[in-house]
Amino acid sequence: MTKSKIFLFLMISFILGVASGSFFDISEELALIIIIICLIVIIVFYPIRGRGALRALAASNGAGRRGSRILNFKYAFLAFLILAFSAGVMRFDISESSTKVLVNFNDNNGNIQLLGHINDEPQRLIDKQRFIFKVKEIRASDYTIFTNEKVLITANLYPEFQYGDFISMEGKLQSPKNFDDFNYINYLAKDGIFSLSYYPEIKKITQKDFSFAFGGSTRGGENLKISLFKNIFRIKKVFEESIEKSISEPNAALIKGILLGSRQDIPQDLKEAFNKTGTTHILAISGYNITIVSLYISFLLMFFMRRQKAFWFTVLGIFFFTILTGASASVVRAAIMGILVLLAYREGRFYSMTNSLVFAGAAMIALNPKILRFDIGFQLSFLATTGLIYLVPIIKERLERVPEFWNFKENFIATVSAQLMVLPVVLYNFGSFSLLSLPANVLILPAVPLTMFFGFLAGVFGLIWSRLGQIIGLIAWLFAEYEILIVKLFNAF
Amino acid sequence: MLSKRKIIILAALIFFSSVALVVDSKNQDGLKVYFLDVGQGDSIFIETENKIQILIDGGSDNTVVQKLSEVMPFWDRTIDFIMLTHPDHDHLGGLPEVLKRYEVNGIIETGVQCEKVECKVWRDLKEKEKAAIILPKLGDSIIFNENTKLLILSPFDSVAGEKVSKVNNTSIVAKLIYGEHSLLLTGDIEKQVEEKLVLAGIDIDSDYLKLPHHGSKTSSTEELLENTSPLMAFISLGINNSYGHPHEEVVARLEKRNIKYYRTDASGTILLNCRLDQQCQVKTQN
Repeated sequence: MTKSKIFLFLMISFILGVASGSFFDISEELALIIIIICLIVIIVFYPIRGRGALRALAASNGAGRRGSRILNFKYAFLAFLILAFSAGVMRFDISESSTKVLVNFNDNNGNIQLLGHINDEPQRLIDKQRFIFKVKEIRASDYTIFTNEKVLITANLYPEFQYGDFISMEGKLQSPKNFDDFNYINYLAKDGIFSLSYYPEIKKITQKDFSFAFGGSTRGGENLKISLFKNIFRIKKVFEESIEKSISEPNAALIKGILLGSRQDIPQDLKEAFNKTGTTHILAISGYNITIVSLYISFLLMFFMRRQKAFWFTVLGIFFFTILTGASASVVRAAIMGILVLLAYREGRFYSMTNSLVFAGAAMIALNPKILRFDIGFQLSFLATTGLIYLVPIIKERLERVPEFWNFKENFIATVSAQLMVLPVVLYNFGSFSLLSLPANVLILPAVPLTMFFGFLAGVFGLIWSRLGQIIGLIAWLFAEYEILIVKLFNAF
Repeated sequence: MLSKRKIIILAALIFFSSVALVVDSKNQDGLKVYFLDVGQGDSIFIETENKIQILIDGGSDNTVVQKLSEVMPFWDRTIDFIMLTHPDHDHLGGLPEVLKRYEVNGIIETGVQCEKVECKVWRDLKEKEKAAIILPKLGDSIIFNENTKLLILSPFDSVAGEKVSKVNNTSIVAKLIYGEHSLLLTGDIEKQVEEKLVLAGIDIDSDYLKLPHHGSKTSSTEELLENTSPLMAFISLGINNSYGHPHEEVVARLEKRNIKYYRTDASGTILLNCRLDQQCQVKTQN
């Protein structure tokens, strides 16, 4: 067995461990005991000398017993697998048991005062704004509790809040409730949110208002992050407002969705039409979306430099794009998936991507084990990437004789590949799969890069001279209008 | 087989000629008044025959932005005037976003004192927009062309900077006149102002009436209806609103006088389209 194979199996075992942890109630203690037993078995019976466990494990394969090792390779490998599996179970358990003080205040009659900062870019909906509030202090008449939890706040449209604002809120907390067909509790839980507050009284405060020195050394890292992202979101906002000024609705909302993944302004009926025709993915920053951005950049760069160099600059471009969109966890995951697809296309050896792909998945799950079961976005993004890497070459082979016209074939292959892979998740979560999604996607996808390109130009030039932004915006409007027409047409079936 | 280049040129040609066609076909439209369906609140969009656009109030939230894009041409990013009848949430709420997205040349308002958060946002945006601020009172008029003008009927005296307990009654009341057609716009005025208008002998007689205060009980008195004597009335309000608008008494008063009325909660956006020397036509969305 090769080194990379062993690595692959260990990672898969870890992922399975997280999955089991999320579906079955396996106690942390049990996982810990198994981990300790495995470790003892390995250390005592299979001492590893030299550099790196994997190398030693691989080297011993086939060579039989060597030196002081009592176990043969098979059993040692099994012990490692169990170790990785239990580590997965434990990782999930640990994520469950982080401190939760705030939930004790949920659904109480009395008001509660909380101090902290706004931890994401507030979503501006049509009649309200919504944002995640990172609570640092809970204040009551006779005591103060320090904590580090999140509350999802719904507030009036004005005053407008920004990421990083220090605020104090006074009001009631509620536990989230599930909708008819949507598990809202799990959806919020994956981001560590267990309390909601509707229209509390909010005051902007400064760092000095906290009981405990916010600027102290322990908070240095967090403060740095806040000031960095504050600037990033400011740039994003200026850009978004330029698009809104240049292009009329709902097309501007669509373009913002395609370009930056911000979907909040798209009218409800249009959103539903996108859902029903299986085209919502163009409005989210997905692996697919990132791939398009990067293809653009690499295409431009290839005028100036060689392919290899262009690839690295493209990766740099993805990095900046990720930052511009606010670098939320889901966008970072999509960026990684997008880079993997680019890599696969560059190398042309699709089958060698397995390890990188599984490693990326395992690393993301290790960072936030809840996404494996509860984040549909992660599941879809991962599976679609798998499809783009593995199924595309297979289908391409079958369709070699079909002529290419205006990228339709390329899009058809990519769509079929991605859709086939996400089919089980879509069926499980939404109960239905629209056959119309195939023609709808094939017709829409060619317009997506053009929408992005002209939408981006309209935004940038709108900042310099609003008339120019409006003129370029007309072209972007036209492509967005085409997409809306297609979606409405297929939705009417 | 067509080359990509040819296809692009062809597409551009079709695009621009259709734009030209659309622009051209809009010249004979006369006056258009849209009562926008923005939920509970007022928002009226007017386009005169010479293409001057006026937005009166903006509803309570950003719905108005979507509704505007349905009635305005997609290339048009300018609104000539915004008129704020009075700074209540259900009239002002959507206007800051409109000001952010559209170029606005003039803002018509009363300037009555308002310390709410929304008003502060509105003030800051006005400064940024550098639009001309017009604070009209009784006797002023805005003339759009030889056929079209807006006569201001209330407030009687300027209330700019004044602290007022009943903001509703500071609403701008105006009569839009187009040839022989007329429309009375009333904001949220209540009984007191209605009586004042009648007693002062101001000519409020109009063909069409935007019912004051969403059809609330304390407005649209018999005196107002008697003196306006409209053919038709329009009520701006949201479905199942918590205020119980329109009040059944008001509906009874309209029905007693055989005044046909349209409601935005039932009809969606309502278009009143008038041409010179012809009867006005009403088109509804639903």
